[in-house]
Amino acid sequence: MTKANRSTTAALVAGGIVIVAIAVIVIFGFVPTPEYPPLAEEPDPELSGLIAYSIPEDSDHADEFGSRCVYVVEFPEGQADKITCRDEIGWSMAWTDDGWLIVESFGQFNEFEPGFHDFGLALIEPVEGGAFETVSYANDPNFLFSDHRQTRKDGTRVRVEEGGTTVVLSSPDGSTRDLFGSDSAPSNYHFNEAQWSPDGEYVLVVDTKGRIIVASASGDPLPRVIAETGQEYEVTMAWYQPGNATYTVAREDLNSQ
Amino acid sequence: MSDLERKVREWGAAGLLSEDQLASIRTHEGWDAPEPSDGGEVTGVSAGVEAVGYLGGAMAVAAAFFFMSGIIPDLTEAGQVGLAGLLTVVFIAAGAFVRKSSAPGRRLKSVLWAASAVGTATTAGLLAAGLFDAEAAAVALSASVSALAVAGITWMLNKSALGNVILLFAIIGSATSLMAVLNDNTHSSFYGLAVWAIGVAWTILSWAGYTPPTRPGMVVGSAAALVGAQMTATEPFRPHGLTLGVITVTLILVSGARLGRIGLLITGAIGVVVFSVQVAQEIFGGSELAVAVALVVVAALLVIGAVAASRRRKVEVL
Repeated sequence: MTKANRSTTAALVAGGIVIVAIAVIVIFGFVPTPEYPPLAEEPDPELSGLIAYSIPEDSDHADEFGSRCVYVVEFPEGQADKITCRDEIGWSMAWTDDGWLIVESFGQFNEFEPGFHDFGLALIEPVEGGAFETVSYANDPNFLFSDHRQTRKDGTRVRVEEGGTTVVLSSPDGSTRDLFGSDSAPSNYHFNEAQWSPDGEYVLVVDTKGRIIVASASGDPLPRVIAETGQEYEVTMAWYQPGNATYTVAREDLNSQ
Repeated sequence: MSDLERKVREWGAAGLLSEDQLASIRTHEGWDAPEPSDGGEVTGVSAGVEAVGYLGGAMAVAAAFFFMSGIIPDLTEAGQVGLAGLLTVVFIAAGAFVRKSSAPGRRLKSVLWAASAVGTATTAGLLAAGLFDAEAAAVALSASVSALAVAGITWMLNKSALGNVILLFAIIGSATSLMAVLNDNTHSSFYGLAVWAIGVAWTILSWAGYTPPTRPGMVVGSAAALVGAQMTATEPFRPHGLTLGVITVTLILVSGARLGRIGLLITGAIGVVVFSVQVAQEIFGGSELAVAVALVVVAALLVIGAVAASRRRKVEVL
């Protein structure tokens, strides 16, 4: 092969490799994130109650036991209001039957990294967030964790497959139904968690874009974005509907300390 | 010194090649210029001057770190940009004034201009982040494209091995940060694919003489291709990335053997170590014994291949 031929061949091969790589990246790597309209664009007067969610105050230190901020979204307006940020607030949260927030509290522990069960409980007043009252609970505080909110009263479960981009409803008889989602999504995009509304009419989902999405469980799901937290993984949330004690803990069972 | 280099020097001494032709061949092959003979006129930079230059450069870097940790946080954003820009200009000017008629001169020039490319990236990054409050991807893009411009110009003026490396880094940085700006949801594996493609292309172009010096260019391009393949090998694209890595390692080893380039063979051998462990773990799962046996087999094949190659032809030194 002459030097001129070698140069031409090399340039063609190198250019071809780069062009093929660009094509692969554009076709398979530049898949857009599924878009859902904000609730303000698709309001639903049937939505009721309060949704609380908490995220790390400093997303750069999300894996550490740093300060977390609690936000509350009140339906039907759907405006997210930050009510408090505290070092003591842990990941899990739930509602009391009379509409106060109850969160994990690490305030009474001095260790830098408390163990999984080394937490107390604290009540937060959900409008102003000013009150922060440490309480105790005599029984197993499983109500805090979102797992039980994935099963409706009739036994139907809402779940997201690991790394999945589809929300699935599983009936007690074993049948499943895809509620909403998209097969075409970036490879690093998926839903993190799904849970039921207390009345079992809606599902609440958070994705890796940090979007909290609400969708109707029957008919057209019409998924809509309630809040954009910007957090990839560290979002926890809970829904309260006044007069509905599902997934709540009785206030009278909490003892002030 | 290789046989070819010795021969070219003989041709130069016999007047068969001009000084310009000799310099072009040296640049293309990445050879150092011959030391001036005793009594010959020294027109370039002496080793002592080169050492002083490096000392100054190192002190400048130390001063930069001092500023970064102690003073820069107290400076205004404009002050930070100005300080980084001033250091960059000093490096560019110092490199421009160094004569490259000797090997130490070319080395010093390449080090100073490499520092200027880094300084340019820092200045542009501070400018984008501090004054224009740009997103992280946009900051990275402005920094790497600015560095690419400086690295490209300085490499064209002094085609050194270090300049080759800096230019490749700047190209990779520009390409990957452009990807991040265009779509921030792109999986990390695709960044790896981009790095791999650029590395392979760089290796081929260096081999053909487009991106001299040839041998360092091929080695750093191959290394970039291996890093790219490793970056690609993350879930859910791990099998794809490992396959890419194995193919790349094979091509590097075959090229190294056929071209007689020890640098490529070393790069390929490192790739074998990196990828064979991962491939064996993927194939044999949790069986540590099977992984160990597989590695021993690969090692034996490599040794046998090296012995066969050594008997077939003489391998040229990097």
